[in-house]
Amino acid sequence: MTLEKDIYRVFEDIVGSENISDDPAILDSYSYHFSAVLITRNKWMPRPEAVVLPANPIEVQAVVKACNRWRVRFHAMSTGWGPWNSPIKEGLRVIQIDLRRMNKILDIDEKNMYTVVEPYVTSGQLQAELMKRGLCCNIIGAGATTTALPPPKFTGYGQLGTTHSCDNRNLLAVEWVLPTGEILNLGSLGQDAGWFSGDGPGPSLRGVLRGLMGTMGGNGVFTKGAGKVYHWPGPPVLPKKWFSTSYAPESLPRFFKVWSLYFPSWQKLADFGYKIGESEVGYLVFRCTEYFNFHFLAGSNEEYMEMVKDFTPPDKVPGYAVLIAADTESEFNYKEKVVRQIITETDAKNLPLIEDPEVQTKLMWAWVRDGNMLRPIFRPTGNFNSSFGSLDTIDLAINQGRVGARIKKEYIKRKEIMDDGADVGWGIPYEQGHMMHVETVVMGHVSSEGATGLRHYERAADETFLTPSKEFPVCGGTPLGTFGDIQHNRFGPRTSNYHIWLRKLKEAIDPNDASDGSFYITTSIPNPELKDKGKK
Amino acid sequence: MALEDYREEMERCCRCSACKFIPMDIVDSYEYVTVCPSIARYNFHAYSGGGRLNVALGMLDGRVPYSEEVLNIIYRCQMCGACDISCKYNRDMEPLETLYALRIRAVEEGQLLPDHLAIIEGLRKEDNMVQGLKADRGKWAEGLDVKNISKEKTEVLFHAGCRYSFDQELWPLARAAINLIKKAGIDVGIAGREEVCCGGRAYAMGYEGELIKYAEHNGEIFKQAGAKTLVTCCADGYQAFKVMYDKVGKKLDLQVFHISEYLDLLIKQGNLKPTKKGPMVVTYHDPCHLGRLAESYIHWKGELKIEPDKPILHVPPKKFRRGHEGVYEPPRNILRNIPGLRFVEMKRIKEHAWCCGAGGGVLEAYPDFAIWSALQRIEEAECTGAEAIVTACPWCKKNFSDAIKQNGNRIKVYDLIELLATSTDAELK
Repeated sequence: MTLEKDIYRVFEDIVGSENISDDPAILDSYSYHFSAVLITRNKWMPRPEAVVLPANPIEVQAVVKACNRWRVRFHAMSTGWGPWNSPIKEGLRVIQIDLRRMNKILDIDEKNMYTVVEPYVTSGQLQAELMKRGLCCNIIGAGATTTALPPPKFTGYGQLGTTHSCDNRNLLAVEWVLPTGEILNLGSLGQDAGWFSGDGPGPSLRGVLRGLMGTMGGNGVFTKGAGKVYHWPGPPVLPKKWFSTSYAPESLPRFFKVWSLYFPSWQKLADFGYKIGESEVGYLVFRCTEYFNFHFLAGSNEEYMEMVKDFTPPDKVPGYAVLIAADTESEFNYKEKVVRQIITETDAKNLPLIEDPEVQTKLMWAWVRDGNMLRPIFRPTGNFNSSFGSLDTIDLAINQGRVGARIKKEYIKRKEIMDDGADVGWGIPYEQGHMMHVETVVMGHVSSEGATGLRHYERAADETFLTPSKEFPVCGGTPLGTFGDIQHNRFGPRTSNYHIWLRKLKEAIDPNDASDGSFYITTSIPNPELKDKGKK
Repeated sequence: MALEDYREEMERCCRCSACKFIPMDIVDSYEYVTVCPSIARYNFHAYSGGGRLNVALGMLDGRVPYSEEVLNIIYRCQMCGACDISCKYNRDMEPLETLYALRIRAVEEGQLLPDHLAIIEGLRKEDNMVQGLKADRGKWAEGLDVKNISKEKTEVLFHAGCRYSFDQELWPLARAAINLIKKAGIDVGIAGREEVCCGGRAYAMGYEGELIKYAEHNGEIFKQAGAKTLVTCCADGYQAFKVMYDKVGKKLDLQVFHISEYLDLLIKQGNLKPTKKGPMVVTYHDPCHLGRLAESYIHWKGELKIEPDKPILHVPPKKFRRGHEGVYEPPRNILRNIPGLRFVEMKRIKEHAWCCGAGGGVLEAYPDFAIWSALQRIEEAECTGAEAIVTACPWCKKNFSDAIKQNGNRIKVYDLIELLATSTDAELK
């Protein structure tokens, strides 16, 4: 389907001829996605009708209003790189709004510890600027090239979550272009009181805005947002050793220390999470196996294979990456003492490799800056999937990691997915252990056979949520990939029917169905369960 | 390798956009983290390294026919390799090779730019890339007391390159290079009028045949001259002689130096002594063809092993060229050796230097884009507080100079040679 010429001209008048295109080559660069093969069985999602590059919120608003006027859908994206940036099927008449030109840091409020950014500021850039000021921001697992703007950040989970929470909670005031084209300022911004609060005195709509999973472009456009930032006890700039593939600081900063711990049992693993959370000494704590650490250190797949060839883990169950960081010697001494105490209490053992100061520095930087997540996730095979990952208690999260690894083993045995040792559960105890998620990542090749394996694993993982079992006698929440109509309809009835409310919200906020809800929710597919019961 | 041979790599692009930035591990500020002039200027994803892989895959899948936009995507790229270096920091991929294959395919299929064609026709007729007359090639050396290989053999052969040979503003620099080498007591010769292009810039435009032709020709000429050492002051030439000839199977049987390497060596050996003060704050721009693109070529003959339950492995293991073995320290050493000169670094340096804008045929076909790219770099240089930006490539110098003239910036542009010549009292005229 091609956008009619006169409608194309409407958008061209808004953004300028240089900032709009419907050339097939341009469109293909937006419809190509690494895991499109999971959906379409090839590398291509459906093409948008055109791509527009607005420069500011006024242009975004004008584009959205034009979409409403001319019955065109829109799907906004910034740094994102998954198939959820595209329409899910042909014929939806969607234009892509690429927010690349909106890339400024608008404010860093050091005293009140928040920043205000546009969508295309990357987390890495923001973190670097913050560190100069003794501050730091969360960087989501996908890495430092992702947006620093909290609302669109998918789940917002990142390795600094122990102290930096997750971005679905770091969100403060937001400037939101609604699917109808109105601009709504949320929180303190709604009363021109600044950006410091997401909850008032203006409207507080954080749950509606993005919920837990984010909206994948299906709920309007977020053009500016404020996010909480946190203390950084390290130096403003870390001088780096300049040698690819290992640009790491020259040394571990003063009053920093790292561990990579292994445990004799899953229970001890969970216990450690609770204890270190209660003690509030961890700066960075995340569930990290040697799969991640060795990939962070290795410069190639071959180097990684060499590292794991003769590797014997220190104990049965990997483990946590732990970083403590302090401003003073006495603080550091205290924190170190507490961690050692907890290590003793949980019978944890440290990875011997991490005794090497150079390894400590490299890993610390990989964990904090998150510049190397591409290595464990994409370098091995080029594609991946993930499941489990409910945000809940530490016990439940760890249990999901255990079950995820067990399910994976079957598909590894069948050679449907990559053999990575099975236990590749990545997760973080957020806000000093008040809640945790552990997602089990699987790697598969980019071919359709590889995608089949990834899909089989995902279905088996989803089934554990749907069918009560000894591990999950009641529904264990919702898995990480709960987005889109099909998943919401599957899991909603088992989780307080949230999907009914979500669909009502979508209908109310987007009456013209202008914001492409392919991967969020749509009003076009009713819940078959409710339909059977005569409900709408 | 043909474009089809890179399909597997195209399909492994995960669209992470690392190709648009310097690696986040070395980012220490908000500014100066973008590394690709093309995406920075044109903004659509197709204009990034990864985006071009997507477009190439679309072409192989029959989804994307040639169009004006496709040609813009293919040719509005300096082929600077920054995307390649950033990508392979975390991935076992080499996007630049796909970009070369894409250009070569476009040329093979007649999808040319008229501006490029004019240059290539000039090359075929007159053996240079600047539309000069072959008969005028040696004029830069008139009156210079230097051996000519048409009359006598030489162990050390100096190759001026097309830009130095024909740009009269740069003649003093080429002459100064000879004077510096001779001042150090080295017996050097030149080809003068018989010198021909290296073929490197033609290859970057997609004309693989020209590179092979000049590789064969130059290989023969250098052999006949008895040369054991080749010194060039053109960064493009350096990359062609040292790296690209080897890539196409025509490796030269002599040692190749860039003038900065050679002069640094002469200083270290005590044969050149910069003594005159040059009180100035300067910064140094790493030319792409002297830096990240100048690592020795590594041939790999092996198999990409793809098994469903294993990671992708190169058998035997493939050593990737990650850009850190380019010529970075010799120019810096020279600057540090000049008394009174204070040297400050920009943010994007060495293998992550921002391209000056002149490469890949952009200067010839999209001069406004070339100037735009140069102005980005000049702004970065000015932010260091430097009074001058120094470089070691005539294409960089020309593009910076043109951009400064057009935009009215006060920062000066120097070639390394002229600063060293002044400091050693070598003749600079």
